[in-house]
Amino acid sequence: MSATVRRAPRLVLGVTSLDLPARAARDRSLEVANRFKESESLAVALVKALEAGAEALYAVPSSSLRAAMDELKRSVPVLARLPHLPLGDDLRHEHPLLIGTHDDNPDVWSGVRAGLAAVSMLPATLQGDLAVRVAQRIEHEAASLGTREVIGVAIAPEITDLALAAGHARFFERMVRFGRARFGGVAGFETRDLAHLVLRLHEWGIEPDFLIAAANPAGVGMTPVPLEVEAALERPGIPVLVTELRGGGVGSLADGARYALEHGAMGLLPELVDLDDVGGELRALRVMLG
Amino acid sequence: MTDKPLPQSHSPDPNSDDRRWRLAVLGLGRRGLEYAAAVARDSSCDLAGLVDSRNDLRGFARGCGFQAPLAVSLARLLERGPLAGVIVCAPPREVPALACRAIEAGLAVLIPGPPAADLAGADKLAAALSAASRPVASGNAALTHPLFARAAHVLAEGSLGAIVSVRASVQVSRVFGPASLPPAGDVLDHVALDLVMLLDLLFGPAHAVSARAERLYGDTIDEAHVTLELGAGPPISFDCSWSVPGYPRAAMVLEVECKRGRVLASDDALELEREGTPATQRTVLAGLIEGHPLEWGEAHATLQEFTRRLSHGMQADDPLDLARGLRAVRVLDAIRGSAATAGGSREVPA
Repeated sequence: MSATVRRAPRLVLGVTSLDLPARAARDRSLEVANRFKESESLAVALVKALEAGAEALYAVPSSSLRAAMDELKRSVPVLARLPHLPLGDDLRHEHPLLIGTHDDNPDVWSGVRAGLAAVSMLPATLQGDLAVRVAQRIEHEAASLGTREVIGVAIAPEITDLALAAGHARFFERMVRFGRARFGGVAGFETRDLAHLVLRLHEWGIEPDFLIAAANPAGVGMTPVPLEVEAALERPGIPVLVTELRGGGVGSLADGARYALEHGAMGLLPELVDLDDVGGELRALRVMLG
Repeated sequence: MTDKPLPQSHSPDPNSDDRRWRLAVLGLGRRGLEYAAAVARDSSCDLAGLVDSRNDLRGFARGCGFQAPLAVSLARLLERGPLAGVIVCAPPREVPALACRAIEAGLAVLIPGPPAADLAGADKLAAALSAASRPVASGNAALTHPLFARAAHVLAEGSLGAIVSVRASVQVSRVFGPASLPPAGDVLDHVALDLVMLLDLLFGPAHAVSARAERLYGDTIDEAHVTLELGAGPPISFDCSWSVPGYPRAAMVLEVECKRGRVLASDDALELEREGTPATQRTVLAGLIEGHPLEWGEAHATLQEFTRRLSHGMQADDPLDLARGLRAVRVLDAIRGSAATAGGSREVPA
């Protein structure tokens, strides 16, 4: 794969903690969810974030985010975490990608909308590949985010780590190509297994535009062990956006950011659940990023 | 799955130091794929096969990139090579038959979910268990969760004195209308089972239950309020619901009042109050979990516990003892029976 000239955003506000389980004390998660229950309050936070220097939101397609974005008169760049696997699917036996979507739209491949991105998927379609199912789902879900605002896509960690464990190099290659072609932006992967992912991507010669992974001084979420994750962060080649900077709430945001940058992180992805003063704290991170 | 006679046991020499456990996953739904990924990732294991009678699930597993042999049945897979054990991730109704076939073949067995859907299944599996030559385990994350393990240790050391009362709850936000009900099972199967197994581990088997159930969106039980009677110690009351907003992840809480203190344990934090000590001692999960296999998810953590049993065998009163899972199935059945009589006491069959 040729060297990329695409640049992933360096400061991103994560709002996935409003819709997905976050690594934070339960009281804290409930408090934040309550604080942003009204779309107006979330909209205000989004504006403050962008004004403080956040280049994008990291988000899943959700009605709460859509409502907040509709409140705003300005475009909000979104780095989409896809596919979005609804939590309720864990009550079903089948894998969520086999269940289909939970709205009225048929979960079908839209070759028209996907354009050249669909063409790149043809060989995988013939093989029943995971990449096709993921691309179908992304195509379907991106529409609800407002595709004009999607500046890139990060494959959700549940899918990234499944394909990684299975050693499915082609999946990573196909998703990078699809993500870039479909959105004209950046394509990357979120993982809970950064050390192995970086190792394998280098072996396979695949260069996504970014990876997203947890890192913090407490070592929370840094699997299998923090030393290996630090080595992966420090390895040149694939930029990493670091999330879970507070390690589930045991440390400060500033310490987490300092730690991440010292170990080679390209950018920072603080989650809403880790912020008390969205504007002020993001502005401070912007300064740290330079 | 076919009923062909199985070849003889293919367990490797458990005394060999350089062994890698050849494990197969039976049932390729969501949980099965999580375990397949965990086995593939574990350096002490080889993913030796993936079994499901459904074409679409086998096809999906292959599409995910797993290169291990696929088979429609355990018997077919065993024709292709030896196994040390299987992880049974099939729907609960299919688990007893599959696990019995594996036990019969001399394999070790891990059942991460409900070991049976009903009493008949539990009885069938219990009968097979006596003939097991290798570890047969049922597990969930609560049984080896670091905070509950610490709570168990505090209670067992006895410094807080006799237990006066135990209350527990498990809640998750999943079902808020008929459309979000799963195709099979109720809140007891999907949410309460893990808690019932944890209570059994910490306080011993329940002998009788009384319960009231709420059916919010149809015939399925959505909430239950349960009292467990134990042979010794105070009764345990617990609530479970899958219709509470604000809990994207299941929240399990255990509150134990003792004569000289109190333990408040959850999968989030542990609070310890000791008589004569003014400050509450609080431990949060995030401060405890670095390097814990649970960081990689429930499948990885449970698999690690299982492979430890493959090396060293099951302990006496092992947290992963399948008998505990089977007792939990019987408790759930008694809860349903009690709820049907508006809270009348029901004995838990032995």
